[in-house]
Amino acid sequence: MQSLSLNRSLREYRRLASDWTLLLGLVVVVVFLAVAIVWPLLKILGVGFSADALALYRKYFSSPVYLRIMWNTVELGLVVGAVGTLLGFLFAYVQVRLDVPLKKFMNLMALLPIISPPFAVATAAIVLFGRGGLITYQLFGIRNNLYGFRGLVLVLSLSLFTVAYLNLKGMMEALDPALDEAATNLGANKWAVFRTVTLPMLIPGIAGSFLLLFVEAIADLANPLVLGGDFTVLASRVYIAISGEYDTLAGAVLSLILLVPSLTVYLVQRYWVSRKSFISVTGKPSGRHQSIRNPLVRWGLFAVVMLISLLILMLYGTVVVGAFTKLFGINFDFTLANFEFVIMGLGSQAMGDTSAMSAISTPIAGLLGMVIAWLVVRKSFAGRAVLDFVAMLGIAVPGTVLGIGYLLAFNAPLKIGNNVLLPALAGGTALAGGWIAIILAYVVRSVPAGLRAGVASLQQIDPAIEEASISLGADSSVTFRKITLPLIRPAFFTGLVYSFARAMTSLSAVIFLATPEAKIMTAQILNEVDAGRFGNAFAYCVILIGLVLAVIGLLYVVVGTSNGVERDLGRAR
Amino acid sequence: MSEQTETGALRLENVTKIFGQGSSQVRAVDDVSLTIQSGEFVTLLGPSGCGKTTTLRLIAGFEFPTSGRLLLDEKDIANVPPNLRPMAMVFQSYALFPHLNVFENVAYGLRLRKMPEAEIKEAVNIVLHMMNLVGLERRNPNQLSGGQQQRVALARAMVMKPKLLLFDEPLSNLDAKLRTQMRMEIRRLQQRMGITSVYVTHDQMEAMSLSDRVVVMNRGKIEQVGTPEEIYQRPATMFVADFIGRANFVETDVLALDGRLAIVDVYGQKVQLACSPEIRVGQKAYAMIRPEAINLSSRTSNYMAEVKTAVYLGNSVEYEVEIEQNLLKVVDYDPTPGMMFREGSFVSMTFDPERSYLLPK
Repeated sequence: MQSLSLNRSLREYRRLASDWTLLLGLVVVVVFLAVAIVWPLLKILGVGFSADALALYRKYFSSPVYLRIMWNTVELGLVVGAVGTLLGFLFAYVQVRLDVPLKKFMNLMALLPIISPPFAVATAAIVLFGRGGLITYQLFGIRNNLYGFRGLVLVLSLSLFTVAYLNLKGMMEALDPALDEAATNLGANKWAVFRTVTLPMLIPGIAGSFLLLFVEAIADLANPLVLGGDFTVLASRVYIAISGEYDTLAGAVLSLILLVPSLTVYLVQRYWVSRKSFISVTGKPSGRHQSIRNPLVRWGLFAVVMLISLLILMLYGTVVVGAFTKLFGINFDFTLANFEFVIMGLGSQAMGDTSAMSAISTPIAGLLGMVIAWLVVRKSFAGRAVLDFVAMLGIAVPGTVLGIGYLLAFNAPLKIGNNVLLPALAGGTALAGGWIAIILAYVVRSVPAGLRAGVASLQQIDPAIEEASISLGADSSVTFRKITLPLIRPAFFTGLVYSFARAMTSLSAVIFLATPEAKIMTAQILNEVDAGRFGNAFAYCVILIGLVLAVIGLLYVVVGTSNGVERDLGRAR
Repeated sequence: MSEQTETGALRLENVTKIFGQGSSQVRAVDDVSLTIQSGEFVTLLGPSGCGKTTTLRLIAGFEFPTSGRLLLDEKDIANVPPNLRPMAMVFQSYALFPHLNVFENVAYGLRLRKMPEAEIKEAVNIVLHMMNLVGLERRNPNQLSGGQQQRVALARAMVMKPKLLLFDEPLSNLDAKLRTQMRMEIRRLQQRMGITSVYVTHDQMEAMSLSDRVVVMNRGKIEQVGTPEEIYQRPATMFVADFIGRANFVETDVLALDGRLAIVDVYGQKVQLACSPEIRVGQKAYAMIRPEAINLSSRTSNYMAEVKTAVYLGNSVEYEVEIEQNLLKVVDYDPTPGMMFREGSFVSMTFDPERSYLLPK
């Protein structure tokens, strides 16, 4: 029997190999994942478990300062997870269950953070609600200290709740209205229906959203850097270790400490909570839900969600106004100097470099995502679960951790004996000025979104459709091109849009990889914010948002249809 | 079409398909051997999980046999990839390409053959005409009714002029009336084109009405191969007897044997029944009695049975009667108006030995 099953997996691979397109795709994917994810992570593990490192662990876990930092990180994750999920729930409930005006506007406000650069909300919050803030100080005369825990919770919740919103909205739409009707029919009033049917059915979605937000919140670097103040978290401590103290070992050790909760929670979410779901999100609304009529509930929820929407609008409005203003809050004179700085002046190289690197990484990430999805869903070979898992690590691993992995793996050439196997890809002596490492990082961070969208989309498509094509004489590559790709085009589009937006706005994974020849816009924004030149930072943000929107528009024209993009984005995480 | 009657003979030799590894192995198809003549319409019939669909997918090439040989016109095709096999399949879900219109769906396979545009047009139009789909060429699949989608799927397979047509429960998504109509249409087309066809279904009516021969499968194995009459009247096993139509089984002793006729004792009466070749004298056996072979009457006799349930169905009445602690199903297809037996009444029972069969225990 043993030899029979061995024989069988050998035959499986032979059959895969007999289809050269398939084999080529598999080889490209495996090599890419090995170089861009596995190798850097192995490097960081190697350093993190060296003898020197072990002494550091002892030091960190016995120092009140470092224990404080670890607790800060977890506390931030928990609170942002809870607040963000609550926000997402409220927005989703209003969208799906309430018959109120301005729902489109609220939907837009909830989606805005997807294309928003880091710092935009944080900087706007500082100038509006900070110590000298337009609203807190100039309107109400309060010297509000926004720096620290409270400010971080506010800004992170508003920036991250989109994930929870899309997740829960999809689930609420998929809930069968017949269940509500059945409960009503058995004598439950609206509140009882909500408490005993709707809420329990949504528990897996709520738990999943909470866990995802936890992971994103503890991995976030941008906001703790500008808003943290005395409140240090692991991600910002790692940044200080690398950029300020040039201590790679400490950076590696701290990032491994950060990796443990991130990866654990991510795995729990992905392999446990998401399996508990009662609802399969098919994308097809399964009927019309009765809207809630109770005016207190209806207008109460409307008011809350509307207020938050207006707050978001105000924050982004501040970004736009601030970009055209000499000094927001003090001197409101109109100026184009900020844009001049970004477009023509010192800032223009970062804009050009980042856009070019993002533009290169986008099609690569989009196509890789679709190919991996197709391999994982449609082809049977030993190790495809591993393939899926490794590809998803790109998002499960915090950006700072990945960045340090890249530093360790690519700063020096990879040699065997005296032969250079792989030249240095990052750092001062890097090949192509360090572009390759940054593009690799962009791709790694973006592939998971396209992959999830692709998997979800393929699972909706009857495999018989592809079999029909094969039975009519088409081979794998013709079938993928003529049948599969056109059918998963919305997912492909999602992957592309998401890749570009993600690359343009990413900071943590690439901030250590920037070189004088490869400047990163988000890192420049950080410099401007640090120096208090908010006008320049706002101008950067506006241009970044403008570029992302323009590229989405362009992709829409080229790839067509945006059907289901929103839905796919919800699944993308 | 005459050349097609010469080809398309298919032979399965000891085909086995095992899914899974180690202890979770499943023998989906277990040592199946079968010969299908060219031009023949053969149905694979059985309950879900019996291996019929896997057998069809092995023939199509979507699965590869763990062991055994697959011969088309005496050439081994076990290692030919599915896209190079001269077969066309009609899928349960129709599997129409949702992004292509009716014409392009049907033309898809011909375009892959790089056929000249004019010939494609002609071939597609002929098939669309034959399938009653003229005027729907520019529609998308989602704008068609279920029956129309089914006909497009059939047209897309037919236009390829395959040596072998494969059907995977193609009618199971249609309503009962349309199903009957499509059944007749498929049979008519197949007879006209003379294409060898393998059809998978779990619906015995479909199998009986379509096929030249029926292959009854259970747990990956073939239980019986035969014409519709053979499998109904002379089932090889109790499974076949029970799966095809309904049957009562009465345990009995074999008293004597005369060729393929056996003398048995059923409820105290000695009768002569046709029997399976495995029957031996002195053994226990089961008399298979179809519900419609039993006759109830109000006369008194030695076989008195109590009517337990009586269900009036318009063109028939169905009873359950108890005799010697056994419940028997009885169908009266020609009930005299007003003459239904009441529940609780006692009736005398006779059965027609001609329409019964003796199976080994």
